[in-house]
Amino acid sequence: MPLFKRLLHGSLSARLVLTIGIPASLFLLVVMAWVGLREFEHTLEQTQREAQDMAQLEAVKLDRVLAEAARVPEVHAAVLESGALKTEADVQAYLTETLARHMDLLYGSCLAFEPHQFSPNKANYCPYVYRKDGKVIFSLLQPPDYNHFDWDWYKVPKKNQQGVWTEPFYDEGGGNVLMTTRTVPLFRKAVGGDPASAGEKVFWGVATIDIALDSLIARLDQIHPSRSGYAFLISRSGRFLYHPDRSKVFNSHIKELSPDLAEKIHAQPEGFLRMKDPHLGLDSWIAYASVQHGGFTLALVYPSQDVFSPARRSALELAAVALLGIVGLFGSLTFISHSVTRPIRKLADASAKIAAGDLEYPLNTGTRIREVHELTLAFGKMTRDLRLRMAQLQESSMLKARLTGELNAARRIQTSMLPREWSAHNHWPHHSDIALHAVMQPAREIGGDFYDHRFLDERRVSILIGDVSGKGVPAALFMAMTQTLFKGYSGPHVTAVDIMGRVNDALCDETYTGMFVTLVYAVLDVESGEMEVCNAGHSPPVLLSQDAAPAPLQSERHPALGLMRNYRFTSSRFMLKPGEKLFFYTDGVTEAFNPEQELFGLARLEHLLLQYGDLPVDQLTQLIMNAVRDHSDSEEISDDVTVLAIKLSDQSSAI
Amino acid sequence: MQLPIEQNGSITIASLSGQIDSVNAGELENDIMHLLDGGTLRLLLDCADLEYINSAGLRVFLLAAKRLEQSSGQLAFCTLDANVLMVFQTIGFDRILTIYADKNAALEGMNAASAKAA
Repeated sequence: MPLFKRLLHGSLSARLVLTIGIPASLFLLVVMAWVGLREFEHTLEQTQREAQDMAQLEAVKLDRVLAEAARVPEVHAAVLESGALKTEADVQAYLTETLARHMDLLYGSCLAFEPHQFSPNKANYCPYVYRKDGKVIFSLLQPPDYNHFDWDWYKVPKKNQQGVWTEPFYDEGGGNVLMTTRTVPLFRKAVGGDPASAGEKVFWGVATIDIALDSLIARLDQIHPSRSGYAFLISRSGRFLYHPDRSKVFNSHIKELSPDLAEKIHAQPEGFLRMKDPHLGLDSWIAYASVQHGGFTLALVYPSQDVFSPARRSALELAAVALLGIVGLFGSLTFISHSVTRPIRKLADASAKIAAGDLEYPLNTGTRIREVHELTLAFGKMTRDLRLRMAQLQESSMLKARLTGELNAARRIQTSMLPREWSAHNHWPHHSDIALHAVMQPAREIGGDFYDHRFLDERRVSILIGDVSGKGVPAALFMAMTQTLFKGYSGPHVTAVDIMGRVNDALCDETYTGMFVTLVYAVLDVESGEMEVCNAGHSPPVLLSQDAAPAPLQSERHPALGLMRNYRFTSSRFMLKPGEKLFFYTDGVTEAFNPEQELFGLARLEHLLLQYGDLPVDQLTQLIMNAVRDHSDSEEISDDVTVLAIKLSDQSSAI
Repeated sequence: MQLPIEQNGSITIASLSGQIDSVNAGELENDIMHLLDGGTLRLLLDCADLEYINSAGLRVFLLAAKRLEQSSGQLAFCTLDANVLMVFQTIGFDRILTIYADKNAALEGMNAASAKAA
């Protein structure tokens, strides 16, 4: 069964072939086996019928001959009892004439009388006629050669008062032929003294005929019940009278060769048996019937191999037909299942190809099997949808690529709006005493942070750092606007406060998006170190001096730009001493989260500035940027980060 | 984000919580704009559970304030955490927005203000 199960887990066509083929083959085999068995049974029945018919027919033929012969001594008896034969000469003439009339049937005939009962002067009167070389010979049997009173053929009928068939015997003196004798008692009417017995029948003698069995049973040679079948004839005592092996005739008993068969035959006058035959020792069917006259039994032997050879041949033919049928069945099943499953296998192949990425692989929708057709259509629709979806995906990724390209372009524009490296100003001798460096890291392609530094005139440098609320393109546009406004309004004679007010008012007109800018605008007189600082909602810059801890610049706080129209800004003034640094930053620094959701914080920033405050401005800004990036670690940097540091050189104090 | 909403008379109280930064400011904007689109005119934002906010979050408040100003509505905040209040103050939002110490004071103050306006 596991094998069968395993087979059923194979391909669809294999399953079809096996699930239909195996039961159908079994059915076919059962039918064929049944038909074959029936054939055997039928053959056996037919054989039995034929065999028994034939055995009976042959037995009857024998019987008829014997019966005809048996009538002869009866006639003798009637003739004698009628008193027609008076003299020995009458008897001789009668016997001779009778034998001559029955030459074909009789071998000999004899009359034997009680002492002195036919010829009063003879104790032994036994006239006998027999055939020899086609002539009838007459003789009187008498002692000392032959005393008929000693023989059973005389004693038995005398004793039983009725006719008997003697056991067949070889007439060795006469013609060396196998003979059987019918002997019947003769009676005469009692005469004389005793009145009591007057009129009664008195045993007188016997009348016999001898029949040569050879001619009778010679015709059994012609009987061949089957190819190797044969007939045999046995006497009442079981002695073989006819046997295909002539040496067995008269010399063997059935009891010696087959005691079983002898017993069966003895028990039942006729029958049909299966057993080993007594001649060839083959398994055989034996039909037998008794021959009433003579007490013989005729048997016909049908060896099984002969009986069943036609049945066996037809069984072989049946088996061949069944085999051919099964081969044909499997062949056509295989063909059908292959043709039925071909569209499914094609579909499976196609889906494998499609799954492998070949979406253009053609699907065969021409199948006539409805389910497969529907499946193919559905699969086709799925493939088309997939193609469409892929096309859309391609389109959207193209769109995304375009957007990314545009954002990159926007970033380049935004970057170009930032001032160039301060080092570019180094060749300007007036300002060699200032070191300035800024770093900006947008959270996305473009951001809302910005910074600027420019000389308003010979002595004054303006520093701007800002953060537009929000991110992305809107923030970048708002930032660009703010930066442009600052550029536009700044000039040699404009104060920081003026610029702040004008930019704020301009931005307030544009804040329908809710955007605002926090920024610090500082103007430093590089010669005097005097600094004007205006803070609009932004983180105050940190002052780094040699004699104090880093501290936020305590300038006046104003609302972010874009919140309150007509707001009047004021500025705070400080002195930046030589050697001191001012560190500007956006809230992307202090508000960077680490994975534990801890803020970078002002304290950490101040601590780093205290520790590394002596570094050159470019290194200091880079260090802070790195610290923020390390703090964020895997956490996505959610906000733009900008730092800017400016240092008034020590040399300026010397000048 | 789905702000928890509570109605007190004609005043809609929305509770803010957690952290509002550049990442989720967009959701807050959607939520509040949805409220305003739904006809809310008097909005009190309860910041009792608000731990952190940055300028991106404040932009949403400014947007709401401008819309309610146009439609003569009211916007107020209450129960600000010290850090949050500091951000408000740093950027100057305390000057343009109404801030109350707690919810009761806010309801009282808003009702008084609307009565006065009427």
